[in-house]
Order: sequence, then structure tokens, then C-alpha cells
Amino acid sequence: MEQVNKNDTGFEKEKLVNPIIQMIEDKKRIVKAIKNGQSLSTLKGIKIVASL
Amino acid sequence: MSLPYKFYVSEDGSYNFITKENHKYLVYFSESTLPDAENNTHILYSLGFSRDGEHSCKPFSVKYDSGIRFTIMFIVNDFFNKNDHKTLIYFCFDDDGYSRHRSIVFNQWCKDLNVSIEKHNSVIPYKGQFVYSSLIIVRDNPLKSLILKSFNTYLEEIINK
Repeated sequence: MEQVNKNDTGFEKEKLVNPIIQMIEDKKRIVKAIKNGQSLSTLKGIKIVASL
Repeated sequence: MSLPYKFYVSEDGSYNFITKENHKYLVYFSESTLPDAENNTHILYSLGFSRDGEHSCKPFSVKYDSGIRFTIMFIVNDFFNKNDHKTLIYFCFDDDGYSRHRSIVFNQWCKDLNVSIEKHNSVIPYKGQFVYSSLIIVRDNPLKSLILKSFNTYLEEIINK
């Protein structure tokens, strides 16, 4: 079952300490956003980067 | 060898391409930080990609297309070549029961990287599931030992919880 944060405000992020857990939770938020057709730029606290 | 599909970078920083079978792929790198015991903060990039808005898959539902692998690894190679930090992590989630399979496939794809890398695979127990991860670091990264030590410390913290 997909585990996601209840919101995308970044509040949950502050409570998490282990950076690996943070990375997993960030990706879960991204997965949910893409599934819902949201732009990744709407995800507060997550920085998407491109090299081009 | 296939040519990569034509891709574009959208406003949100994701890479997008459409295959000949009309599947829409989205590739992204999200930036994360990894502190170490010496108060350094390392930057890691989490790689992900989706097909038609999904990260999960149904076996044998999509015809094999070598252009997909070639395009995604072309993007990853470009990212490695242009980015100074050169540390990537790829997580495979088990929502569909195929995380291990995806991890094996991704490990095969990593043979297409044109930089000398080390790959450190882990299985992370998290919320009742196993997350398969591959940490990819350029072999000559001068901070490699610090990054690996820090990553393994945090990994042990999760496993021993």
C-alpha cells in the first residue's frame, strides 16, 4: 500500500530526522503528485533539478 | 544501439518523452541532503521515472522497447557529466510487489553509465515494506568515504529501529 504524507506543506518533513527516510518520503510525495497529474513544482520542500 | 527519444525539460524540471508505443515517460531528479559526522552536508539526487503517470507496473503489459532504457540512461549520463556532486540514489517501492525486479533491471541499466561508478545496493525495511535502493557514486568522488559512512550510519539506524 502506498504510504504518503497527509499533506504537501512540508510540515511532516520537519518531524523526520533520518535523511534516508526523508528521501523515501519525498519520493512518495513525488509519486503521488505524478499520479494525480500535479506539476512537481507544486511540492513544497522538494527541489527538482535538471542539468540542461 | 538505439537513438534516444527526443525529450524536453518541462517548467518543473522534469524530463519528458513519448515512446513509439505512445507511452509518456517522465524522469526527474530531486535534491536531498545527507549530513555526516563531521558536520558536512552532502547533496544527493534521487532519481525517479514514471510511465503514463505510474511508477508501478503490470508484467507483460508493455512491449519491450530498448529506446526507453537508452533515453533514461542518456539523461542520467548527462546529469552525471554536468553535475558536480555526482551522487545519485534510486529507490524502488513495493506497492505492486515488483520492487526487487525493478531494482535488478535498474542495476542492468547502470552498465550504460559512461562514468566509473560504485553502486551500493540496500534493502530498507520501512512501514511494513521493503524499499530497494541503489546508491550510485562516482568512483573518484573525493568525498566518497564520508558519504558512504554517513549513508550506512543512517541505514543502520533504520534497520536497528
